[in-house]
Amino acid sequence: MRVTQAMIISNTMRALQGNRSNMAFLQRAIATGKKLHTASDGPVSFSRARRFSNMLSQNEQFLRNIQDAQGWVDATSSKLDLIVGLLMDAADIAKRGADGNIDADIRESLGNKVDGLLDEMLSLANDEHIGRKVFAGSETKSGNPFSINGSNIIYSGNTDPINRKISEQHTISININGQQLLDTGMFTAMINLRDALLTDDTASISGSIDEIDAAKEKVLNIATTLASVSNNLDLAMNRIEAVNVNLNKYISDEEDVDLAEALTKYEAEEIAYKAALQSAAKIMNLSILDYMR
Amino acid sequence: MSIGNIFEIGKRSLLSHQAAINLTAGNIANINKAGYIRRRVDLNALTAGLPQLGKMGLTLRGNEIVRVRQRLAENQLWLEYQDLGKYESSSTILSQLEEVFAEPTEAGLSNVLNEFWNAWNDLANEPESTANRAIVRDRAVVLGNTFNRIHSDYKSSQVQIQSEITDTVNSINHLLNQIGSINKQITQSNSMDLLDQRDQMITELSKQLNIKVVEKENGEVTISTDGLILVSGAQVNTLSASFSTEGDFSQVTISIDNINYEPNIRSGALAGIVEIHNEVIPDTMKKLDELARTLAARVNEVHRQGANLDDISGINFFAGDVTGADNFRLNEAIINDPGLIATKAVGEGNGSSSMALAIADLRMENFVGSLSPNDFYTSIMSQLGSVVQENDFLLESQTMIVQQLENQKQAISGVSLDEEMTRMMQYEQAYEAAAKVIDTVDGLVQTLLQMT
Repeated sequence: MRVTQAMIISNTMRALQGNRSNMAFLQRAIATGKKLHTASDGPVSFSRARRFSNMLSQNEQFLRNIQDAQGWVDATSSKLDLIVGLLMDAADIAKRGADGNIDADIRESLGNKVDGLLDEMLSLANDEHIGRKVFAGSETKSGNPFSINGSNIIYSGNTDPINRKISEQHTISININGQQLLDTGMFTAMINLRDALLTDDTASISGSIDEIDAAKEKVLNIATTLASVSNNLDLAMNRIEAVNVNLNKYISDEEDVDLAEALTKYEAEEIAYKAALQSAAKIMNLSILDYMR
Repeated sequence: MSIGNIFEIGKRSLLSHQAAINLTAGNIANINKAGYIRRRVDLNALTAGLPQLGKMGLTLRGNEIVRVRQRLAENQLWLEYQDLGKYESSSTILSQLEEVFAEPTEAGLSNVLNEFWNAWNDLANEPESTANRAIVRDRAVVLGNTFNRIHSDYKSSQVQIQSEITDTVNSINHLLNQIGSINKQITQSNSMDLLDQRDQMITELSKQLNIKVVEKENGEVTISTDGLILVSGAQVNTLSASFSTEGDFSQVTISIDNINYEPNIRSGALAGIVEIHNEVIPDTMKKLDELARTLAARVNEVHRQGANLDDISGINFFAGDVTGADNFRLNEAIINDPGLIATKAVGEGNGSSSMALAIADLRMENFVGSLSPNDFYTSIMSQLGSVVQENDFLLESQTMIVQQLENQKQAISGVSLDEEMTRMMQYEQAYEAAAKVIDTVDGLVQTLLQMT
């Protein structure tokens, strides 16, 4: 084949440009740590990585939801614990009041103590978590859900659930509504005990001991249910965190550069480039003119 | 045979080799000129005619100058340049169009959509909050801006391509006219410079348009596209581009002026940009419009059923008249008062987040062309990415094909310095020898003269 100067020059330039562009590509990959800069760098990898990162973003939101739910559940169960404590205090007082050896004055003062416990219970039931009524169903911002009217406790909240989305398929209810508290009979038991103590009605005092124990059992049951919700939240969180580790790995597989590989390739390109430069310089220097007299 | 004849041969030999050196000098001078085809003197006639030189009346015309052409490679190149031109012109514009989407970055629609859904979820966690409502509104505004930005960027790219199409059509017409006028000149004088110039123009033309070139006996060429004649002799039919608006985007038609016919432009730079102008841009935007329209409609549909903290319901979240990416925006009322954002069902307590959850759940619902909004968007992107990738790949392989053909053509038609210098020495030595012949004959004549 006849080889002309123009051919050598254009072939050399093309080869050098090819080397340069490979080196630029690898350099960019090494500098950014990414091999996927646009969809066209790998449409399949791109759409896979996008899908994974959509899932990741969603999962991170679920983790936020779970954290929020956990806060609510923790606040609720600590209030329930306090309520159980109040009921236990009341049971102690009832036992003392049932003692036949004490007189009416002491029973009256015990009755006042129970009244104080009842107030405390009421304020716990009306308590808030970050500005929201915990035991009011979805009426979280409509004032106190519980009020006392003589010997009657009035519940003005509703029985709506407060829901949190904790995974793609699962929405769980995280609240205990006021009606559930009412149904344990805790308020009634306290009121009955107070009234029996104040009126020095020994027979009723013994009766209300059982009533208080029954109410305590029911509150404990609710607390147990809530504990299992909390447990579920933990499990969901662990699962999502494990999935996220995998998702991050998958995204990295599609998007990130294997640095060792990229550096090795870069070395190879550099050697090729240098060799091309050197040979080009030598060949292009050759001229028949140097050998003519 | 007389001694005088030998003088004559010597003289012609001197002149022929002088002409050959002249041509060699011309070759060397044009070594870097694009489209220059090396020339060679055919000296055969001179030697062949020698014995009967006197009778034959041979003259210098016997030294035929030949353009050393590689016809096959030339024709093949004109064909391959058409594809190369198409891929080349598409390449830059396509990657610009891809970059408009800014994927995968935080400014990309993919991320903005995720943030939008997450904001709804955060609101669902605390539906009583006004701060979270403001965040939902702000995220939705960003979403709207992103849709609008992509749409307007695409629109301005199309306007930019329009002027590029006009420029290309003008340059095609310019080339056609020039080829026509050279055609006319060639029939009058078969100048090699003109032939070189015309071939170079045909090469330029083949980069811009799909053409078929037929060379006639008298040196003229006929050029046609899609079976329709553009140049025949001095007759030229120019092209023109006319733009019309179809829906939101413009469409261009290329037609041949004199016969008012629309040829099928398959390759060449013009085909590349026309295809992007008429297909890639409107098609991509149609899909983005579908996403914007369906998204707005579906979110509105759910949102209207919900109520805000004051139990106001039936409000659209996005504007009710969203038809595509360009007018995708929030309901004006919500921008002014994020308190109107609904989170609960009518009649529920304010702590209920059933509607906020329902809207956050739309992220997983397959309501855009049987895909979820995010997946639908990803499919738009990966489709565009495939077009870009394929074009880049074709560009690379086509460049190699053209390079190879260029080498083949150069191998025959290119000027080699080594060769020219060697020939120059050859001619120079021959010239010296011819001079020596004359000197010798002069000696012969002197000898004869001294005899008397």
